Amino acid sequence: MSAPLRTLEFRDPLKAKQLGARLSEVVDQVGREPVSVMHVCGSHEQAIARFGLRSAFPKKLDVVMGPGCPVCITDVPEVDEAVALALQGVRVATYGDMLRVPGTVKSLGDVRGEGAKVEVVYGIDQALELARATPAEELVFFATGFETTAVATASALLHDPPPNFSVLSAHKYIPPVMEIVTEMPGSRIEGFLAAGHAAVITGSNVFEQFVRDHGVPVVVAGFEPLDILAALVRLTELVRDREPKVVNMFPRCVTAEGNRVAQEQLWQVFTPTGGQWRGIAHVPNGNLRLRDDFARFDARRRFTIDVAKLWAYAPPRLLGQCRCGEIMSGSKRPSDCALFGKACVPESPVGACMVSTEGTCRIWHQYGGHLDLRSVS
Amino acid sequence: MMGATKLLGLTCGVIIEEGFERDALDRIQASMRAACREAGVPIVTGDTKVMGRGELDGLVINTAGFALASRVVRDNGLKAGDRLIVTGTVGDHGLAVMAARNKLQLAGDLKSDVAPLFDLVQQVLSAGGEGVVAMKDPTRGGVASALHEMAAKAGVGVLLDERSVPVSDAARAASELLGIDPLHVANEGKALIGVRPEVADRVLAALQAHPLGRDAALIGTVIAEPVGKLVLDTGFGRRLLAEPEGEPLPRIC
Repeated sequence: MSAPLRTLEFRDPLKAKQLGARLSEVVDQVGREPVSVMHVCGSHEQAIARFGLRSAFPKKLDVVMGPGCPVCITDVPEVDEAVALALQGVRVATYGDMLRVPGTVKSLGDVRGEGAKVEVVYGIDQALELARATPAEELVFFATGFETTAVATASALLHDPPPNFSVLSAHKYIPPVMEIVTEMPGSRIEGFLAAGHAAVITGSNVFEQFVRDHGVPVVVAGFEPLDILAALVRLTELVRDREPKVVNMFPRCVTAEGNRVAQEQLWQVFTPTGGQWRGIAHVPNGNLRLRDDFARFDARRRFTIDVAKLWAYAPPRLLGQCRCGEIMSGSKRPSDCALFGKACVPESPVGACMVSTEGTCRIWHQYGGHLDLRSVS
Repeated sequence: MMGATKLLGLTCGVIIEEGFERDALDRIQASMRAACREAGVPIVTGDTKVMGRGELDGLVINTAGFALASRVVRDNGLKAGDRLIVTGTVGDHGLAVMAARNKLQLAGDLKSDVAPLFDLVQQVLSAGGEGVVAMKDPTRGGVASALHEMAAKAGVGVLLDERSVPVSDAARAASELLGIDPLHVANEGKALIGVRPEVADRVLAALQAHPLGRDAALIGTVIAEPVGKLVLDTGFGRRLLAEPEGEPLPRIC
C-alpha cells in the first residue's frame, strides 16, 4: 500500500514548511498589516481548509474567500425556478450540493422528500443518460457553476442532446465579479488568486484587462497545498513590489490562451447577461444565458415556470439577518454573523454559504474556522 | 465488537416487501449461509414477516449477536494518553458502494472490505489483555463518526495523524475523484481499537501478523482537550475533523 498522499510531489510537507516561511518573510517585507488577498474559488477554500493551511499562513496575511462558491452565489429566485419546476411535476437533475440550497421557502431536497422527481448527478452526461433512458418524460438539468461546468453544458448541447432534455441555466462567469468586488466601497483586496481549473479554459490572458483597469495583481493557482502556498508567495511579492500583473503559477495545466475549442463552444451556446449573485450584487455580464439558437433547450423558454406560487408563503424571517453577501465579498467573517453555528448550521442552513461544502460558513463550521490548533498535543 | 471470546449465535429478523423477487432472496440467503460458515456462528433464532407492497423498500434484515465474554470492552473506555489503532485500510466499503451506485468506471481493485473480525479481535485481546480499553467498528459515518462517538462518550478528544491512516490506492483515487474523505466513509471489516500506550506496539504487531490486519496502523492519540472533538494533523497544519452529516453528496466541481 503506497498511499499517493505520501508521494504526490505537490503535497510535500517539508516544502510546504519552506514556502510558509518564505510567505512570512515576504508579508513582513510589505511592511504593513494585514495584507489582504482574495481567492475566488470554492475549491481553493476547500483545499486550504482540508489541508489545514490556514494554520500555516502568517498572521499578518488575510486570505479572504470571495464569491467563488458556485452553489452559494446561485440566487434564491434561480433555486425557486428549479423548485417550482419540480413541483410542477417535471423531473429535475442537478449536482449533489444544490439539493439543500434553500430557496424562498423550499430547497430541491425538501420537495424531493415530498415526492417530487429530483435526481442527483455527478455531471451533465449522467443527466443526458437519464433523459435518454426515459424519452417520454421531460428532464431539466439545473445547471450551476462557473466556466468549468458551463463548458460541459455547452458541449452537451452541441452534441445532439435528446429532445426531452433542457437546461435551466444558473451558470455564472467569474471575471466580471472580480471587478465588482474590487470596486466595492471599503474593499481591502490587494490581489487575487485565480482558480486554476477555470483558467485552463479561459487562459490566464483573460485577466490582463482587469489588471490593466484596476492595478491589482492576479496569480493563477492550482489546488494542491504547494500550488496554493507558492502562488501566495508570488502574489504577496507582487503586492510588495507594487507590480500589478498576471502571473501563471499553474503552468502544468494553464496556458495564456486557454482551451480555444472550449471557449468557442462556450460562447457559441451562451451569451453573457447581467444577473444577481446571491448576497453579492447585480453583476453585469456575470450570468450565462442560452443563446436564441438553443432556445428549444432552454427550460425557461420551454416551460411556464410559476415561481410566484412559491412566493405566496412568507419568506423565512431569519434570511434578513444572513451575512452571506458580506462574507463572500470579504468584508465580514462567518464569526461576525449572529446566526453562524446557532440558527444557521449545516443541517438547517439559513444562507447558502452554510449549504455547500465549498461555502465559507460550512467550511468554517466543519473545519473549526480560525481555531488555533497548533498548541494541541 | 465488545470483546466476545465465545460466539453463541445470531438472531435474524427479516421483513420482506410483498412481491420481492425470490431469486434475490435466495441469493441473500446463500450469502448469509456462507458468511455464517466463514465466521463459525449459526443463526439460531429470528422471525420473518411480509409487509404490503410499498410499505417498505424491498427488504429489511435485522440481526444481533450473542456471545460470552470474560471482559466486556465497550466504546467508552478511552483516556488521555491512550493510542488509537485501526485494523486496516479505511473507506473501501463505502467508496466501492458509491462507485457501483454511480456506475463510475474506476480502474483498480476497489472492493468492499466486508469480513468477520472475531478471530482478529481475539488476537488483539490476547496480545493487549487489560490494556485494550475501547473498541468500535467504524461502519456508517466511517472512522470520523466512530471516533467522535468514542471521544464524546469518554469525555476526551482525539489527535489524528492523517498521514498514518492507511488508505488503499484504489480508495484514495476514488475519494479524490469524488471529493469524499475516506475518513467519512463506511467500513465493513475494520475495527478501531483504543489501547494503553504500553501495549500499543504489541497489539499492532499481533494485528499485522494476521491476514486481516496486515495494514493495521497507529493513527492517533487520545488527548484531554478539546472534549468530543477530533483534531486532524494533515502534515501541513491542523484542523478539526467534522462528524459527517447525512449521506456524502458529490461536489459540483
